[in-house]
This record gives sequence, structure tokens and C-alpha cells, in this order.
Amino acid sequence: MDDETSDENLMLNYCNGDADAFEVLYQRHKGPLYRFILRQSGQEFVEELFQDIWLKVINSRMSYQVKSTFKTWLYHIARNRIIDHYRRHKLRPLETGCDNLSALSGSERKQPENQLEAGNQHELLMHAITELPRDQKEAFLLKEEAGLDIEQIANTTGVSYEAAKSRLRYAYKKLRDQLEFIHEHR
Amino acid sequence: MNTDDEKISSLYHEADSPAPSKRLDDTILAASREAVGTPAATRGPFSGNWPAAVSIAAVIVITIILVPVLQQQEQQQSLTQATSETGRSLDAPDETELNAYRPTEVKKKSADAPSPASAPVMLLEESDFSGSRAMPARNSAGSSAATSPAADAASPSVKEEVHVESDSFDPGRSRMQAADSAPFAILTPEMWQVKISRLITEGKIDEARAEIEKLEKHYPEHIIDPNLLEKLE
Repeated sequence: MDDETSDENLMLNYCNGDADAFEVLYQRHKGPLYRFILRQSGQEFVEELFQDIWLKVINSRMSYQVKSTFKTWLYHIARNRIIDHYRRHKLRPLETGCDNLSALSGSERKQPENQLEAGNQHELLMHAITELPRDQKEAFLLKEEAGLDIEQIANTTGVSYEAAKSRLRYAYKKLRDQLEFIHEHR
Repeated sequence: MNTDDEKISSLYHEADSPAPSKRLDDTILAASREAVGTPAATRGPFSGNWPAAVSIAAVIVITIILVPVLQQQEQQQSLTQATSETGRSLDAPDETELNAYRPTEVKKKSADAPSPASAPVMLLEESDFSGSRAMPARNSAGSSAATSPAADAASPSVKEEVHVESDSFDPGRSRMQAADSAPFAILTPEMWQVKISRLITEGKIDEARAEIEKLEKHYPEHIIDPNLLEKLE
């Protein structure tokens, strides 16, 4: 089993009973998928959701067809599971839904500054991602973690290409704005 | 994606990259193996190589089936060899075969005599000819001969032979004994020749000649083995 074998072939091999193929597949995608879930659901639910999603992949192996990339299929399953999780637990995704940073209270605005002063730029970015609206955050994570292009994001999330592109553009813009806002207030 | 977006992207990837725990990895991988029938903890020597496992299983099954059959054949061969050492193989003569060899007057005589089928010697013969039959068959033959008063009265020597038979079973030997003690009327020419051959071997030439005469008398159409006659000369 070489590293160049495509995800789709690995999945087909696994469907034919090759457990080693699944292991290669798992090693390739476990990190990005884990972080995709973590950034949306938080630490409390990440393990449960992560395990459920992979079990879903395992149990759906016989119905797997190479209609799209394995990655698109995997993240489609993950997305549905996360939405289901929110519904089941009557939770709200990790988002503020607040588009305008200027609307934040003074104390809220001060918190990132303190973090920046502490030199933790990464933590600041993570906080900014958490602040993104759910759809934009999802598009951003699909782009950055899963490595999906706009068309794949559109397929995975079930929206048009333009809608996916728009979500992604807004996500980057908000993150940029927030980071600039923080820089301005250093 | 513009330069600012790339900055955000690179900043994002520089951040810590949390990953699932080892325990979670093991749980999921174990589930994946279990789903396709190869649990990691219980992978056998043939995992992923089922044709080899099936082949070995087939060989074992065939061996189990064939070994008893071959053993049985071997026993039958040794039995045949034992009988051929004392003469040609003795087959149970059926009624048609007997009639074919008997002259008319002998047939008539045998019709007056007790039926060969009901004679104790024939009972012994039947059980003996079934060389490889199970012990109960032989016992039943022996017991029927022993419990038949008519049989005892008709042929005391037969009873003795039956007794010997029940002590130690030797099909070849018992056939010869049966041929020795059987009334001539039920002996086939072949059996008679075996008896004569044995007498020659034992050095009882006179008795052998007498038996030849009897044989010629009762089976005038039968051609006696020239080798046998040569030995007598």
C-alpha cells in the first residue's frame, strides 16, 4: 500500500476487505477531520463526533461509490453529523453571528488585545474563527483543513458555487478585518 | 485568494494542530478491522489468505474420509491374499451355480436331502464368506448353528468347527475347515479342488486321490486342474 494510492482506491480496497487500506486512509484524514470538528463543536464533543463519523464511514463502505472524491464524501458525512449533533442536543454552533466587530462590547474587544499582547497570534486567530458565522466558518475550515476547492465546498455543503465562494470570501474578510482591528488597537 | 488571505492561511496552519488521541485511533481502527472480519487482536495465520485456509481444510476433510476407506481396502486385500495362499478365492456358491455343476442324479439326491441353505455348514459358509462383516453377523451364524438341535445331530463335526471359529476368527482357515467338513453335495468343484490341494500339501495323497474320484463321480463334466493331477502322479 503506497502513499500515492488515491483515497478512492483505498476506500474501494477497504470495501473489498482490505483493512490496511482503511488505516492508510484514516492516517491521511484523521488530523484535518478532527480539527474540522473541533473548531465547530468544541473540545467537549469532538471525540464523540469524530468517532461517530468514522464509524459511519465504516458502516457505509458497501454503499460507497466513486461519484465524487472520497474527501468530499467524508466531509459531507461529517457535516451532516455535526448538524445532527446540534439538533439533537439543541445546541448552537460555536458562533456569535455577529458580523460587525464594532458591535462588540469594550470588554470583549479588549480580550483579543490582551491575547495579542501576550504574543499569542495563533490563539487570536482561533478565537476569530470561532467568532465567524457558522456557514462561513464551515467554508473556511473545509478550505483550510480539508483542502477542498470552492466547487468541492459547494458540493459538500449543498450550495451553489457562487454561494460557496461568497461564504469563503466573507470568512477571510472577517478574519482579516478582525486581525487588522486588533493590530490597530495594539 | 489574495496575499492577505494567504497570510491568514499560513497563520492558521502555524497554529497548534490538535489530533485525536491514540486511544481514539485504536478504537476506530479496531472497528474498521472488525467490520471486514479481520480484528487486529485475533488475526490468524491465514488472515488475508483465505484460499490457503480453504485448501488446508479441504485436505483435512478428504484425509478424514479416505483413510478409513483405504484401511478397509487394505484389510480386504490382505484377506484375499490369505485365501489365495491356500487356493483360489472362495465365493459363496449360489443355487444356480451348484445346479449347473451337479449331474441330474445328484440334483435329485440333493432334493431329497435337507436343503443346503438350512444346513449348519452353509450357515457357517455364509458368515465366513462375508469376511469383513461385523462381529454380530458372525456371532449370529455361530449361535444359530449352536442352538439348532437338528444341525447338531446331522453333523457333530460342524458344531466343533463352529466352536473353533468363535474362539479365534480366521476367514481363510475357517473356509478350509468348512470345505473339509462339508458334505460333498454342497461343495462346488472349486472348493473340492481346494480341499484336495490341501490334502496333497499335507501329504495325504491317498485321501486326495479318493477325493478326486469322488469329485469325478459327482461332477463328471468338470475338468479337474491338471496341476492337481500332476501332483498326485
